[in-house]
Amino acid sequence: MAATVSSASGLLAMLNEHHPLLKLHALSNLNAFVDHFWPEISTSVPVIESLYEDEEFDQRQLAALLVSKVFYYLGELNDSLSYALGAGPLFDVSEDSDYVHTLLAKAVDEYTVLKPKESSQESEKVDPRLEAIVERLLDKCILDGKYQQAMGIAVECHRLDKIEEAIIKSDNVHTTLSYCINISHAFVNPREYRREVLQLLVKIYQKLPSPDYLSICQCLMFLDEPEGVAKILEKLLRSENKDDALLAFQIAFDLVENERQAFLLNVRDLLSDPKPRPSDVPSGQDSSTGNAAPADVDMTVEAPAAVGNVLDPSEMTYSERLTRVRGILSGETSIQLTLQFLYSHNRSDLLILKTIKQSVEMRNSVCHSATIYANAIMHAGTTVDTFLRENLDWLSRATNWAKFSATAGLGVIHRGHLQQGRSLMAPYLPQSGATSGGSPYSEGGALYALGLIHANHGEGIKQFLRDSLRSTTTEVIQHGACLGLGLAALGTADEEIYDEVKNVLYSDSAVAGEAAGISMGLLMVGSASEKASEMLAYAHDTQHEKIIRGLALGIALTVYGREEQADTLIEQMTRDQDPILRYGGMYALALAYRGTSNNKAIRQLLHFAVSDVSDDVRRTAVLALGFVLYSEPEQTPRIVSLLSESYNPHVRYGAALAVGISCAGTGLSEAISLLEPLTSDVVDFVRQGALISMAMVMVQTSEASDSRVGTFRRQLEKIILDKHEDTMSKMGAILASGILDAGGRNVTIKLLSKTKHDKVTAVVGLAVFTQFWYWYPLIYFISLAFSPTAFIGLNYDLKVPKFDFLSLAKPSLFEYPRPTTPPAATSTVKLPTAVLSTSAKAKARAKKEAEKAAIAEKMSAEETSSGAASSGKGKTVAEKEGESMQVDSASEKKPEPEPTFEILTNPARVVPAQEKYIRFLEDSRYTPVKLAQSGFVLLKDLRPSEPEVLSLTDTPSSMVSPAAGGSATAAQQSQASSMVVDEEPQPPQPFECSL
Amino acid sequence: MTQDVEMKEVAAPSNSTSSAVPSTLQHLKEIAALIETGAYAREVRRVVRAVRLTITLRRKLKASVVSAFLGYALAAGSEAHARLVSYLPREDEHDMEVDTASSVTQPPVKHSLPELEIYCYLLVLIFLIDQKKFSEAKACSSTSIARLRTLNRRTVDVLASRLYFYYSYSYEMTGDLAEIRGNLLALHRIATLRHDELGQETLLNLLLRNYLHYNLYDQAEKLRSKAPRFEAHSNQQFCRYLFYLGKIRTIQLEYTDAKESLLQAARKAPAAARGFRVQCNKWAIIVRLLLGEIPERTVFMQKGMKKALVPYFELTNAVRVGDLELFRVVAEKFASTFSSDGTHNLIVRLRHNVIRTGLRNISISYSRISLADVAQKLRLDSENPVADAESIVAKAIRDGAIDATIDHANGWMVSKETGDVYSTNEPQFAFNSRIAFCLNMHNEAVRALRFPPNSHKKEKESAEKRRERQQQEQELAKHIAEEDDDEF
Repeated sequence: MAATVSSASGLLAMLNEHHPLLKLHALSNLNAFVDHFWPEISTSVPVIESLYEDEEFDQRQLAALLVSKVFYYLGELNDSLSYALGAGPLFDVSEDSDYVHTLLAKAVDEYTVLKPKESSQESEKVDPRLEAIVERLLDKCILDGKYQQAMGIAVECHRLDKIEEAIIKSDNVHTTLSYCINISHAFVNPREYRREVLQLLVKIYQKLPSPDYLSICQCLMFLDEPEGVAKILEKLLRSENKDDALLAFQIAFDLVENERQAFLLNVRDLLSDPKPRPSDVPSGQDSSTGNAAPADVDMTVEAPAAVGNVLDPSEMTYSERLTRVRGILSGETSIQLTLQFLYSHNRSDLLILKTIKQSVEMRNSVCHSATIYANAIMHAGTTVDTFLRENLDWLSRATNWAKFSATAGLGVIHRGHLQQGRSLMAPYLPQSGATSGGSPYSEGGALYALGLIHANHGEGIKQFLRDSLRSTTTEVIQHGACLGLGLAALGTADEEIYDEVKNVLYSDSAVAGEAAGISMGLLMVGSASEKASEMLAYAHDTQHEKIIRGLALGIALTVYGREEQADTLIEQMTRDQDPILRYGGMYALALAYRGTSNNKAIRQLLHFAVSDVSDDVRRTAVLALGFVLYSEPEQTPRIVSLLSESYNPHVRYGAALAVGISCAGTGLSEAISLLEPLTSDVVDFVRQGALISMAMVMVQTSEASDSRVGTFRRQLEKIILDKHEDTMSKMGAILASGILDAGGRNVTIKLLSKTKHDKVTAVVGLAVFTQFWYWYPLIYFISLAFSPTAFIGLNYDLKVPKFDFLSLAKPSLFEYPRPTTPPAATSTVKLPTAVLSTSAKAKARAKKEAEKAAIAEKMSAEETSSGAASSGKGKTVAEKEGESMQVDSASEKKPEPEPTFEILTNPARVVPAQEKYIRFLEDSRYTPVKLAQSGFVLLKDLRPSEPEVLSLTDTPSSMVSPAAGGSATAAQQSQASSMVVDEEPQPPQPFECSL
Repeated sequence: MTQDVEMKEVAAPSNSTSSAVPSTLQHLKEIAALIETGAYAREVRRVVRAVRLTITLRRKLKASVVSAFLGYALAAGSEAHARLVSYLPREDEHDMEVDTASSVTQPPVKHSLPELEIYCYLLVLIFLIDQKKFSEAKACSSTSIARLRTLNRRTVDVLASRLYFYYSYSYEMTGDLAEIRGNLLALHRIATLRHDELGQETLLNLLLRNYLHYNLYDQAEKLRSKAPRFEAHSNQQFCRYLFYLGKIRTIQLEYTDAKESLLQAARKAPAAARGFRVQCNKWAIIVRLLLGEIPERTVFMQKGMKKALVPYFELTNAVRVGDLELFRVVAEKFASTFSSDGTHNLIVRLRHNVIRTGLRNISISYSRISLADVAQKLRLDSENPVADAESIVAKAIRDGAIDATIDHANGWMVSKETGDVYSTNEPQFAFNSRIAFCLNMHNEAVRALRFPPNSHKKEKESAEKRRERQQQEQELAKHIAEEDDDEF
């Protein structure tokens, strides 16, 4: 029939007949031939529609189906869908045709749009028929075993019940759950809804027979429910099984990695004390310890010395474990271990600094301070201040604010040196007896330094900083104290401190006010408290641009991570007349939507980047993109690539920093390609930004994995040595060399923890760091973003046992950069030290390699016995190497094929790119509790009877005391601290006088 | 309706020597490589180029070459290979041996790219059509279309659109166009769903052609107006679309729009597509005549079209003179040409225009003339010529064709004085439309330009140059400052 009929007009005419039978005939025929004659039928759609609306016509649904099909052909999918729903059972969802497929897809789209609205507002109910279709689809998905698809759609539709069903019915609940956590972090947008999803996940987790406590605690942390975490930890600690305790420690370490100080403190305080305990140690002690004891916080204070003999054995073990967990939660254990690691593995190259120092002109104070900054960054957290001590005369040229930052630099170098921090800084601190000889600049700097040392772990130092703040009226000291307080009490939302800082702010002094503004923000990070409006009001009142800027940044910090909740405030700030407040608005956008890749935020930022009248705002808008996008670093170069070619140098600068921030530590090839041309930009400050960003991107990337790293290092050297180079770019180059070799070449910049959560301190640190455009001392905030590239395995006693594991990659791919060789004509003065260090290093290396070779041999022997022939090459190479070592350890430069693997010994440097190559040996004595390739990992001892060999034993750890049976005494402590002093370099006393 | 671009140059039997065989094969292999890289890099541009290169090769295609290429591009045992080879005619043994030898030397790389498979279909189809083996072509194209439906890749789209075209062409040649209408509609739907705009364009044209072939103007117009719109991708397809559109509009009495489309189609068509342009011109001439315009003589004198346009030239002459008798004679003389061009029914419509033109001539020449004279001049040979003339004149006045009044009492027509056209807005409008046309042309040309990517990045100023420039700027600034000082 189709072939013979060339027009549907006859059938269409029949529709106008009166007899329903004729109409019915016409309809059914039209329905059959609709794909041939839809253009003709489309003109008669109103007639068919009226048939559908005719209550008396008994084949209304057929009419609806026909209309739906015609609309489908016309591309009007909305109408088509609504009529298809009207067609009821005639619309056969199981039919295999394009029409049905398209409409089903449309139905899901429609539903995902409608459903979330329904729950939030009073808008009309979703069509139940639509819901039925989508539910059928979801059920089919689940039945077919396509759980991920089902979950994705369910998450998007806000159907928690379906998510639960999909997870529970899936064959591997754990993988499905972790998949769900991933998508809820990456794609679930409104924060409130994400909380709901996570709550659901926690619920499901808890129902499982073997709950994954690590994941649960991560979720609970996001939900900010310290009670839940505390309950789990306690349960694990009380368990008979030692493994559970290990797991508890691991959980604690993972929580610490996200750096939410207030949350961690809450968990710590919520852990209940051993039961039959006399009331001698109140649980609120922690917060008061700091106030009472003049010494720095020490977890050993917590040790229940007096309790020992009263408790039964199970409570004994509990209290012992509790002490350890509390130590971890307070961050001290990890900080201490990091400090030890950074100190023992320090590989910073003093020659680079020397070259910089020599090439920098004497009178150029910008470059002079830049060198000091670079030194501090290079040695961040290593406690190595050799360079400063060797160059006291040179250092004494720093005056005024330069002196402030020189002193503060010590804080960066000694970052995390919680026990000794104060005694180290003592010579520079303001003396309590009022008029001391010290300059206010060094005193202020010292307070700032204390803040840096105790950043985010300021329990013990808070009180001292408050006292200093209260007792001074000098604005420079106030400046330092405010910054220090902000850092130490980061995110604690402490009202008292806030009020004190506010008093400083209201004194309306430009210098102190700026720091106060930032400090208030730091205190209130992520609290979204009412204080923001108070700060905004004052920003409108004051005349000082500096104060407005400080406040603007502070306000931005308060909305950290608040996403939609921050929208009102952001709106208020971005519409302000004052460009400085709009500038703060950009930061607010950046921080509220940090790492969410939220489209709305990106759109807004791009809009400001091209349309604002103020260069500052535009620069910041582009820069803020880096913060919004750091969870997807691959995207950033693409998004800012056009902006990086803008005519406006400020926008180009912003683009450079955006890439630097979001791709920090990734060594991403596209990012480097984008930054490369910018490093030779026509405008000096763009070059500066590009150099710094490049260093941030390339940190911990070896030349073997990207040859451009070497080129960049040479470029930096060239710029520094070039007499004609602008000061701005020279400063950029100096800072870049600092960042490139940061923390003794053992740290990277990481804004995400291993569980893909944001690291608050790191993000805040980078945000304040970018303020160095206005205020150089803020450069030091970058040290907050550093995290060690280390694998540190810990045993039950939280000590570092000797433990080997494998890196299945060529060693050269991730090795340290070669130390620079001094030019032949160097003066002989420096020679002895250089010789000493290299020989020492060579010796150490020889020893290490010999060990390594032995292990390699052992391992490969095992492997060959187990039938793995692939490692044959590695074995021979290792052996050969071992032999050559024995023959002549000095002349090791033989052209040998490189081994394809490397054996690392706990604690080891594992750079992020290396993580995927890390393997644990199968028959090792220890196995990790959690399969993590870096960071702190608890190790399960499979042969507990054998004696343990500890690494890092040379370090003075005060955690000896709890291990000794909870009988730490003051004497022991002081002994420990004296050990520290012995072991680590003395504070650079001499140059204190010269300042 | 042989307006197709390539069809005009149907391959003459190639007389190339056997030495051409390897070179053609080599070319085909290069094309295959081009398609491959295009498919991997998802660059549609390369596939387009491959198709273009194939068209230049089509004269040289021989069964042996094609089968050798099939052996190279497709896995020997595959279904597609077996099927395609079966369409090719067997040639003499000698040639085959050469081919097998050459294919053996090839490393047996077996590609599984769907693009290549589709390309092979296309190649065989072109070959079959050139050999006038339309029934085989029909079978081949049908299988290829069936295969295409299962593929959803953007790089295939270009090849697919060519296949659609040859599919329809092979059916047209055997006169079975009606058969595939449903298929084309379904394909068009699929192309719409997959956002394959090139395919939509091609298929819409094929459908229009299909409808028009059976004079289903009404359906064609309905489909055209209901189908989704988008920006044109292929110039050729757009030309065709405009041509069909012009035809539909002509039939539906929308002459102004029809003229515009037809002229645009004629202008946009590539110079090589002479047949198509002749067709466009024929229709355009008639539409212009229907509009009461007289096309310029140059239209008929265009290179290569002179002969084809002779009937229309004479027709125009008749209309220009306004001589009904002459018109009738011409229409009779060329009746067969007109009916084969499908313009006969339009020429019937023209009679009215002839009368009108005559009337206008009269009105220009005479300031006052009796209706009887009008009837005589127009050679109205009805029963009451004066009354007829009166009504014709009245209608012409109402339509605005002539500017005159009728004096009913005296039975004559009074023409009004024609004013000076240059005192009106007329020249300005004409000028404006020409400028608009030029600007539009320029804009489109600019839009069509392709710039090499990232060429602007190469010119980075080196550090030395920058320093030099800054120094110069500083000197200049100093200089200016000094000059300022001097003034005081």
